[in-house]
Amino acid sequence: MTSRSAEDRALIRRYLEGDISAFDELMRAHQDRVFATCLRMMRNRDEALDVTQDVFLTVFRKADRYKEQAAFSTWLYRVSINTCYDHLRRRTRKRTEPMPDHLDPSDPRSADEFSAVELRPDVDAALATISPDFRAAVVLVDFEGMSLDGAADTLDVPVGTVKSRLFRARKLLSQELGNFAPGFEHPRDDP
Amino acid sequence: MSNSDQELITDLISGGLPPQEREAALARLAHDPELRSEYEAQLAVSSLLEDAPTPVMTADERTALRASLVRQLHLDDAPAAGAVAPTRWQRWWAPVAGLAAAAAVIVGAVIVLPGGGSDDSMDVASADVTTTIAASQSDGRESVDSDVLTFSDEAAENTEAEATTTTTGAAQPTTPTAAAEELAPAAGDASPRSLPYLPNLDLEELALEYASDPQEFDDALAKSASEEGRLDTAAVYECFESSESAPTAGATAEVVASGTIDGTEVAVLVVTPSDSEPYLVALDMNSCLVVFTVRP
Repeated sequence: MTSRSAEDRALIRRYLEGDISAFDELMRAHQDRVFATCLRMMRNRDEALDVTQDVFLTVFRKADRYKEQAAFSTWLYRVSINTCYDHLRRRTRKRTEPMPDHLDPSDPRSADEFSAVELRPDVDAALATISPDFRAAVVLVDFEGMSLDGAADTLDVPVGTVKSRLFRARKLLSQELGNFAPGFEHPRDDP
Repeated sequence: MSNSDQELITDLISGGLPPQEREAALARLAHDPELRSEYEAQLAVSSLLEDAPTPVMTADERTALRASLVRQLHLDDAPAAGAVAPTRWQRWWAPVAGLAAAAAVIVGAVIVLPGGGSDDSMDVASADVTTTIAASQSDGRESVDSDVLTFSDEAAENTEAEATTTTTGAAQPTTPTAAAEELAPAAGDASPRSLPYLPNLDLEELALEYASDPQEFDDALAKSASEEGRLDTAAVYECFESSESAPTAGATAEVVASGTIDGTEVAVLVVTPSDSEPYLVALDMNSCLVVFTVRP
């Protein structure tokens, strides 16, 4: 068990005992990673902030259901990804209605949002082309550095499914981004 | 490309293959240009994503998120982390917090309105008000019998702190002051409090008692004390705040007893930093020097 994992369990126990300072410590430890995961999944800062809030609401409201056999971070990522899925589904439903002008993807303010969050616009645009399932796999493994087994546990799918999604996601991203073989210098990196 | 080849590439990139299998896989790549090309393309994408900067929330977004969560989780009845130790003070904080908030609003209004509502007066009033809150509960009981000095985070960073102490008496807005001055409640605002008085006190022993059960510390002190003393807690806080041993922002301090150490009259305070365990200090009230500190 890592020290972070043990610390998280102790904080959850303290929170459940009514120690509010544990709430703040858990927030400080995890809010940026949750937000980064949500932003990469949602690709919209305002939505990512909403989802981050929902994630922590779920986590703290259901803290008594957290089973200590699993790492807290695994549970947190699972709640994060599932909450992102929920919001993405809602977004899809909403888009069956006519979109107001300000939500039109061609709206230049959309691009401003992405550049403001330090995501490379080309990477972000490429992420937009792959399905949420594929995106979740690369977000957990490539962005967050999670192991294949950890990602499988988080996504509640067999590890073979994670491998398959990763392979296909990376292939699509590679095609979208161009040739990233070693020695290739991406145009964005040119002086 | 077969599924097993796809899995091989993913396993290679993940770094999870045992050494022998890894060598065998690399040997296959060396003899299969198509496989090697796919591996290199996938590895490049994976590396690009891995090295991508991690987006973070702004300070304002963090503050807004916390405020929203606190409200929705109904944590606003309890003190913020680091502001007040959760065990010792929780039993009296909840009823006081609401009163304090209400009183602060009233005090703010009292200060702002006479200024004619000009932007300048409003800025000053909202930014730098030292609030001495006093309130009686609606059922007629007096407010808390204890007061706490809070070293505000905002004071250190933004000079926008409030030092809040609960006393009995009427609400008294004061004029804006420098942040450092705001940290200490105004001397004389609080009436001397009855506190356990311990001649020749042993701070280490008190610290052990506190560590064993913070919630019962008051009772333990009362039992240890040979008599009760009266102490102007506002003066103690002013003294402590001016000492070189004053804690960093985010900490709280509460006077819990008075007594003597080697003939020196001292006040005993429990100091709760925002990021570490509470500790006890003995403060020489004549020199405003901390003469003894016992940490856990």
